[in-house]
Amino acid sequence: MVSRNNIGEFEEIVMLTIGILGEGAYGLAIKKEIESRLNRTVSMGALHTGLYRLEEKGFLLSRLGEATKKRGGKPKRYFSVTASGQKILKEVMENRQKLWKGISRGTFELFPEKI
Amino acid sequence: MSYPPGFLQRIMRWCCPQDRVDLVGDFLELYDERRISEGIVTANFRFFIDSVSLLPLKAISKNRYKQSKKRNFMFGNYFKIAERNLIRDKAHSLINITGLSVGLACAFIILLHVRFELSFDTFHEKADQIHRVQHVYSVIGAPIGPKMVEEYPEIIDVTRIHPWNKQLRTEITADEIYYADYFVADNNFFETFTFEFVHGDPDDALNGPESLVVTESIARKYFGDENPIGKIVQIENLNRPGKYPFQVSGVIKDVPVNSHLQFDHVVSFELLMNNPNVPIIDSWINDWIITYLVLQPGADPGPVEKDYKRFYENYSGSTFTDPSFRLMPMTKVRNHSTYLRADVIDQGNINHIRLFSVVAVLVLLIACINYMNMATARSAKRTKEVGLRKVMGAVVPQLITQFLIESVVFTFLALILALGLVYLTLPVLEQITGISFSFNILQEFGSTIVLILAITLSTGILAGSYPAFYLSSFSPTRTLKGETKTGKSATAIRKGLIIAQLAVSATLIVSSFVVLDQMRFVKNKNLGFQPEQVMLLAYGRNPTVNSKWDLIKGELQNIPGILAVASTSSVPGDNAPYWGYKFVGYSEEEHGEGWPGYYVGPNFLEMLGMEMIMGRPFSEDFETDQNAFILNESAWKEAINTYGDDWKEPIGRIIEYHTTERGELSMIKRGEVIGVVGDFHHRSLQNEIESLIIHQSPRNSVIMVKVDSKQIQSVLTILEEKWEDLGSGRPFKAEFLDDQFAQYYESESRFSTLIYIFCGLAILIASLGLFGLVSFTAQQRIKEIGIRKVLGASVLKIFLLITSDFFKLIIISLLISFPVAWYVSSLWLENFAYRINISWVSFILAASITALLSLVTISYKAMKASLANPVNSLRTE
Repeated sequence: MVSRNNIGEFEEIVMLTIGILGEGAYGLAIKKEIESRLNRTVSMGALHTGLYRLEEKGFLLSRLGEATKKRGGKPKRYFSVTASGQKILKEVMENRQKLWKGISRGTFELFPEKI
Repeated sequence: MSYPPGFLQRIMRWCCPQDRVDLVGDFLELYDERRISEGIVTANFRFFIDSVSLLPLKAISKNRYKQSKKRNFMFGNYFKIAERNLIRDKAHSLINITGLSVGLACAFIILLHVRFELSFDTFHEKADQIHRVQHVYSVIGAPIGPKMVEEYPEIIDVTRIHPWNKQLRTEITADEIYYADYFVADNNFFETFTFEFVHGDPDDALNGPESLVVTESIARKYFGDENPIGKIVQIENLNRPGKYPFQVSGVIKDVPVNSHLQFDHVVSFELLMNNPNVPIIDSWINDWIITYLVLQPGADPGPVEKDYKRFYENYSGSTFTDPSFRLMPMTKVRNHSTYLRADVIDQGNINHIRLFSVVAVLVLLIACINYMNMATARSAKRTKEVGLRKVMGAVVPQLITQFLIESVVFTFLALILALGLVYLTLPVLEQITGISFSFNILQEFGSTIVLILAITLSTGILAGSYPAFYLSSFSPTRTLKGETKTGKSATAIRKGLIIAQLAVSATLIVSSFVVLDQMRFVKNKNLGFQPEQVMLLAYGRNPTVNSKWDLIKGELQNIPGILAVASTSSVPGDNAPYWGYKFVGYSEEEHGEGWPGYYVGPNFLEMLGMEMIMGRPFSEDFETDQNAFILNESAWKEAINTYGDDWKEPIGRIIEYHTTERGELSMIKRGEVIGVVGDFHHRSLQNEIESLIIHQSPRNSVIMVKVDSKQIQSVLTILEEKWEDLGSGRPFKAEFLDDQFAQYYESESRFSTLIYIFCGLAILIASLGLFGLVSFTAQQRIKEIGIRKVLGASVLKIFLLITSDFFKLIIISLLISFPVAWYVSSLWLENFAYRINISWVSFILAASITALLSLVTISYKAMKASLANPVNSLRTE
């Protein structure tokens, strides 16, 4: 069971990608953005399940956009990150940073410098 | 842009949550791109894989994106458009609403009646436990009930009732005298049945032979506003000769109309016990007491019914030959007892209730079809609206909602009219038909309202369903281009609807004719006797009257206008009870076999104009005729069959009459057969003529006088004056035999009146529907008609063109309706032992009426269309 106040790694990625895309964040664009930036395959099912869950938790908001001829006349659904979504992203980021700060120099050999 | 193959699209759409059109868009867009970059095979494959990956989403999805919020703000608009449509075409709206409201009014009236009938006896707290013991009669021997309580553990209690419907003289003070009927009931009467007490205690109100319980209105009538408890009332001849005091020990509220037990005075059954005037109190074979058993809650009466033969033969010592023994549940007594030979209560008929319900549904259905036809007929006027709405983004469910709302608005307007109609017609209908409708409207107000609203709403939805789907399916491009032509399937459905409607009407018409025929047959059938001008004066088996009968008869015969006088015990129409008749030398049983006995006075047969086949009727000149017997034709034939050809010559053969008059079953009299009388209908035509053995009774109860039809009034006046002197102790009440005989058909004639009314209404509504359809056709083909006219077609040809289609429909609907009507009518006719053969005339008449009415309805529009100037229809192209 996914807790209401927590987000998983994939969900975090999805929300950040929506942030990158801004106004143009609809399903397919998000999928392509993740795939190209992170070099991983995202299935339609996984992405939309994630989007659905996030919207249910109140971290995302969606609205129906214009229909285009290219899509068989079907409208796009655009997503944006809500205030509480942004808050949780910030929290996740800060939590990570706290942890990073706690790691002593030289522990991780691949990271000689403190980030 | 390219699309995936259809089946893949279907899989994808199926995998998608229904509310996600945007997802469909994403899929198509992605497919298009992949098709270009990766080729058709990979694109198809990945399209499929992606589709399947949607299934988890479909599983958790809760249709959150459904456009419900969007639709809400259109509701106001739907009502507004409905209102505008209503006002724009007033004639159409009027026809539509009239049809619906008449249909609804019919349904409500029948609903009220059916609910009333089904509410009978449900008010008793123990309604589920109480069962009435019945076999061929509703009454049974007095000791049977108590013995059954001893015998069977599942029977807790028994209450016996003897209705003493003899109009007994009841004296409040020396000057204040009433005549009343009495229930003689076991002391636990008010524990078994739930009747609300105003004064007194239900548990011991009937204790003691002097106690008397009356209803509130009787208490007010007898004692005014004084406290009635403890008041003394003198009752004459209640199960013993003479006048005895009774003390009011309880007052109940008036008995509800929906109780099959109707009474206003109850006295204790103790009066009958150890009473020398009631020798048959311990007899098992005399059927005279209504017996109610209280079963354990939830107990099944089945085993008791099956065991009854053993039980009866064990205790009574006589053989049990009556397979119809039943414990009838209290709430079914009224409507499920029509199989009885005779009943002490007013019966209802469950088959009538069922038929009425079917008729209600049918009439409502016709009204719905009517609306559908009218709405689709006018669809041409709505196509542009639908097209525009679709262009502006309305989706099909929205449009369906809109049209459903419109039909519901129409139905609710019709509801107002229907309620008005019901309110105005109910009193009239109650008067015409004698059926109670309105009693429980107030008592069960809430549930009635809910039912009425539910019926109205479902009618609205049903009526609106087809138009809604039909209208919302219009393609916006076509409608906006101005095309109004409709598909073949729509036309077929509409034709189907009109066929259904006409078939229902034709069925009702045929049935009405059959009912009419049978009722006429019943009225005109030769009964085998002449009931006209015969007046009946009941004096209640009064011994004083019987002892000085010769004197009374002489006196009555001297009254000018009286043609003949007779006394009798059996009156045509009454049930003839079975008793033992021993055909001496032929019958082997000690007390003879059971035959229906008929007890009459000496000149009964002549007065009613019955024909003797052989021998002679009873004569006062022969003393021995007191013990003589006359057979009716059926009995004579049965005697020949049973006892052999000797009985072809019955005159002079000896018969013994055995009954329980003296308590034990024993021979009462023995005498010769002196004649055979032609069969006559001793009961109404619902019943077969039975094999009667007719003889004289010293204990007659009715005076019959044949009156000159011109002097009826004066005879009545004189009789009323003389009545008191006869000393019968009963109020004067004269009835005519033919009237009384007609009363046996009351329930059937009530039924027939209602069927005529509903038939008329069905025809009315169906005509409205036809009218709607023909206007539609005329409108559809307006250009075709214009062109034909331009090319030289005559008005007549065009008229035939429009109407010929309808004649096909009429013929099909008649073909459907005839077998149905034949079947339904024969079901009803089975109520009568003597019935008509369903005549083809009814069918021909029904067919002509249907055709004629349809023709008249469609002619108006057809004429208008064929006479129209083609310029008007063609110039707009």
